[in-house]
Amino acid sequence: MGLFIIILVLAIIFYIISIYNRFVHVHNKIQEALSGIDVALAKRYAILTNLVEVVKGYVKHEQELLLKLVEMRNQLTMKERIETDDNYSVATTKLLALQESYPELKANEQFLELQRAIRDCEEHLAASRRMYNSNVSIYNDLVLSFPSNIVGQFMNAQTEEYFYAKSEEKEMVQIKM
Amino acid sequence: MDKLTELNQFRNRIFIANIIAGSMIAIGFLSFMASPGLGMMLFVGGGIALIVIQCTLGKQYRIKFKEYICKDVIESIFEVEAYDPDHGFSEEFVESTYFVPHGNRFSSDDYLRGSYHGCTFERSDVCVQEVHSDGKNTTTDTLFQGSWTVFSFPKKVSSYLVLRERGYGYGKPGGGGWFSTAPKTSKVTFEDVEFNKRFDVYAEDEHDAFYVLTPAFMQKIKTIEQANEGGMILGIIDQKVHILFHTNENALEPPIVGKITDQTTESIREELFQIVDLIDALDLIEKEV
Repeated sequence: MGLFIIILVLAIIFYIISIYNRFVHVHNKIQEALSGIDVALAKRYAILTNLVEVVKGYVKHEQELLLKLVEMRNQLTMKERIETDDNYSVATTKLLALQESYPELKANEQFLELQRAIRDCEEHLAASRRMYNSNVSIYNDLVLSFPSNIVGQFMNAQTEEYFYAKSEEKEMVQIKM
Repeated sequence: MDKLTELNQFRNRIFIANIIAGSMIAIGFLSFMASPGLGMMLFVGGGIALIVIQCTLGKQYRIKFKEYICKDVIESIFEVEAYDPDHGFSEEFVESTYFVPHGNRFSSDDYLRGSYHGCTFERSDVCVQEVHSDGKNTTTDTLFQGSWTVFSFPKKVSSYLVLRERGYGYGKPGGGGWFSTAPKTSKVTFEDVEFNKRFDVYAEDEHDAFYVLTPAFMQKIKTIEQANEGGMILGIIDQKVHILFHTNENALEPPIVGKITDQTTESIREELFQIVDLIDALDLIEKEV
């Protein structure tokens, strides 16, 4: 009987340790995903900067507005960057659409290369967001489900927010061109 | 004489030779009691003849079939750089991917390297088995037998990923133990519940897994899996995507029984069109941005 109790206690201890490690592991994954989002956003902004340089020779009167957008980026925190991400998405789309008004852009190798780079960057950004949400889902399950929520309470674990499209993202941001 | 007729006549000669050898074995077995010496001679002679027929005439028949039928079909569909009916992927190459477990018996043939509308590929039939013998009994487990196709992957992915249809999987690549030399992977689950139920995904880098397996790509994989027989395995390593179908068959082989007909040619064509279907389904032909 004594041996049984010892084994039971050891099993509970190992279980608690494994749950604790799982919390830590998943939380680290969330941080990794957030970092991935930031890296992708930073890369997109860098490409956008290059894109502005390429198109400015063709579209002089839009240059001022576009440079303004790029300058803004350098002053933002990551949270603010994510919140203003919509503006950059729309600006990028409009920049790329300029090739319709300025056909000579289509023959510009740098422009085409940047177009490909932006597409790749968007895919990486989407992957980071999905990875973030997937790990948040796992983490929130741990925080809310029994019996892992018991361990979570001792760790002061709180549910994390998903990365979701805000209602403003669904509206077309008006940018005068 | 056309190729089909020539092949069928050759097949008939082999068939008759097999019948004779088989008859010698049967007569030798039956006459063993009456005349042990003669019985043994016929039995052993028939057995040796059968082995020689398979190793010589049988092999020639297979080579002729592949030269006459398979090669023509291949060249009608693809731009061919190389086709070797007798050799396939090397054992080292297959083992280095860790897409299928390592066995102790390996064979591969029908190596094909070519392109379709600019999309280059390599393909081979591969068989990996594990043979156990305890002195009395010998058991053979087929770990993988089927087609193995390799394409260049259009996305830049530097890490390792393997996706296996449930029921055909073997857990983490290489077993996942501490001493395993396979890439260190972890299981990745996605937002597509149906996809997670049908496939197991192990990836070295979780971000790359999400980057490769977009919702659209996952849908394509589900469609491919439904359209093809056998367990599906998809792996990415060294910027190449490998697509395997565990069919328990060696494709592009001549029929064992029955004549070679136009239907045989059609079934070879269907087998090879699997490559075209994969290229189209996975959108591997590079398009201009």
